[in-house]
Amino acid sequence: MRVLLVEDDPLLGDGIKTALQREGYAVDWLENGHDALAAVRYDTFSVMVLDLGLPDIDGMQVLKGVRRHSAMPVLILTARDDIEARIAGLDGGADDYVLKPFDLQELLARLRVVMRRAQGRASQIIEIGPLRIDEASHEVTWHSQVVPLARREYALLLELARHPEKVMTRPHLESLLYGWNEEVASNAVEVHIHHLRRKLDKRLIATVRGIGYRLTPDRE
Amino acid sequence: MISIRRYLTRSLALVLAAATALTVTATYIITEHEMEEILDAQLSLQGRLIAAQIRADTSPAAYRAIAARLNQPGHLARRYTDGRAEPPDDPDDAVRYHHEERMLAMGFWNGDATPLLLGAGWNDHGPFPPPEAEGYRWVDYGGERWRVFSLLDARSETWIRAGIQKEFIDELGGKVMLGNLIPMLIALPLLLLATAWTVKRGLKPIGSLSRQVAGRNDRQLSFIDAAVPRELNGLQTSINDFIARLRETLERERRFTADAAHELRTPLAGLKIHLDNARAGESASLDKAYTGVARLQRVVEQLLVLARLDRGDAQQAKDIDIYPLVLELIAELWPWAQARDQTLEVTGLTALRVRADPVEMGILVRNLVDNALRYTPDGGRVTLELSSAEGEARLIVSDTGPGIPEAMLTRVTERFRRAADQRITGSGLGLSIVLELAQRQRARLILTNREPHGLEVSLAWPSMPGRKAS
Repeated sequence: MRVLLVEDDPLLGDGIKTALQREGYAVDWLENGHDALAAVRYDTFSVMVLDLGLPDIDGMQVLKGVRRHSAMPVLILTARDDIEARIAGLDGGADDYVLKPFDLQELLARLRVVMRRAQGRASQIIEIGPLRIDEASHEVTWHSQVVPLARREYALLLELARHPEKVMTRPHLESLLYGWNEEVASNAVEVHIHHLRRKLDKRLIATVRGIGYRLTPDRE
Repeated sequence: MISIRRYLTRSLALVLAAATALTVTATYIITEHEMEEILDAQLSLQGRLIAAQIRADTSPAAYRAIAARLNQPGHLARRYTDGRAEPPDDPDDAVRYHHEERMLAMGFWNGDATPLLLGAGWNDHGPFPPPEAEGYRWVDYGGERWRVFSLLDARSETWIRAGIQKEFIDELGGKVMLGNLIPMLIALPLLLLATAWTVKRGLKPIGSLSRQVAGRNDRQLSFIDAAVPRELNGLQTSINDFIARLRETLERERRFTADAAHELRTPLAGLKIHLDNARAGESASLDKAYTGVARLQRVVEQLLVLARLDRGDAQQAKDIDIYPLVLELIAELWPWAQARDQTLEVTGLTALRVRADPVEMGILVRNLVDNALRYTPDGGRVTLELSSAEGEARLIVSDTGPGIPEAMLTRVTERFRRAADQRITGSGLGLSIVLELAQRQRARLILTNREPHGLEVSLAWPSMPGRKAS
């Protein structure tokens, strides 16, 4: 789960980044609209958190630019509480709207909702065979047994579970786990996959040689 | 408040009524005068004609015949002999051709003013008074006033008088006046109604203009576009100008509110999330929360300064030397600069007199220096220079910070406009406060970038007549 955070305020940006990382998101933080537009052109993100009050381009313009290339969920952060601004934001292609100052739990919940909606799901529970993932509590159960997972293991499993049967490439999974500034060991994804197989079931995640991995719930 | 409509209607009604009264009165007076003249001429013509018929040898029988002719029923003419009236002949033959006939009468007197023959009506209360001289005169007889013309026929030594009752003249004048007055009285209410209607109709554009203005609020600030008469054009234009200014002010207010919301809510959001993080066990977050509080505090303080300035409290401009004031502030900010290894210095003149409010100057200079120190990196230099050239007093604050991108130079004085580096905990209000204060001191504010980097803020007071450049 990779988040693109566009926030010009150093204090707020830092706080959101810390909180999202704690939740297991890989966070890329940009402080202006130009960089954000460039980033969405060349990279993929699970969700974008966009502050409307940016120093260079107005947030609404950034949103418009993003919508030209991508349908990724966008959550707007703003201090403007007038109805007109909200309507303009939602009509402009935003998926949700959070007013500053916001509650952290609410922000996280809304992030989950917009991502879920982007995948066409209504529930925050993913169930694939004996595997059950609760996105709100991050609780993973395997045959009704709670399995404690590390932050990145959880993120990896969630990404695979969101696209069951589909092959997820290694670079894509890597980019979801690590932000730009984070050091990535060359075998990081393998290590996390290994841990997941050990904690759940060896046959749950299949390796597609030379390409990546996929979830195989039916091959139990 | 007076009502134009009521005022106009009332005034016009009064004028109309007065004009009517004046016309009628004037008509009466003029008619009566003219009537008198015409009747006077008639009387003399009558006298002349009769005098032409009288001879010295006109016989008593002829006079008797005249008297018989002049008889009217109940008012007989009489011939007089030696001052006594003779009994009338055939009083039953008397005829009245017109009921107004008794208002006219005539008579004959001998040269010695004894009556000879007096027409109908002039015998009713004894003989009519005898003539004294030729010409016109008013004569009172039997409680009536007569206009009488007297003529002496020299050949026959006979006085001839013809008269007409004043009542008759008055009646004529009165009838003419009444003839004028009645149509006037009928027309007057109609005229008054027409006046009221015209006034009401004429003032309609004022009503429609005021309806367009009334009931507007801050969301309906479209221009007024009523088809108004020329007299209201100026008013409509003025109102539209006012609306334009109001729009501008409201738009600025709206922008300010939005910006203020952003500047208050963003650090608040940051503060909140850092506290959340601290609670979740992030050790560095508590310090960051404190930074958030400091920023909030600064924004609030600056907003309060702006609010005070916006309220426009009475200013106490006077001639002051700003050097001691500048030194005082430098001393105050010195420890702050020292802590970041920055050099803070004052150069140039050691006395500079300008016209300004000392308290506002204090806030102004503090903001300038504060801004400079904030944006200047550790170890940098902030210089205050006092100078005077061509009578223009200048205070220049320069720093070795990053300066302001050229494109932003003109915009940074807008409220909440911050130059490039967002990591500095400025409120975005410092320079707009400076600009506001500079304008209040009637000083020009000039922002320029320095080479290789840095910002120079220059405050210049234009030369004042009568003040020597020091």
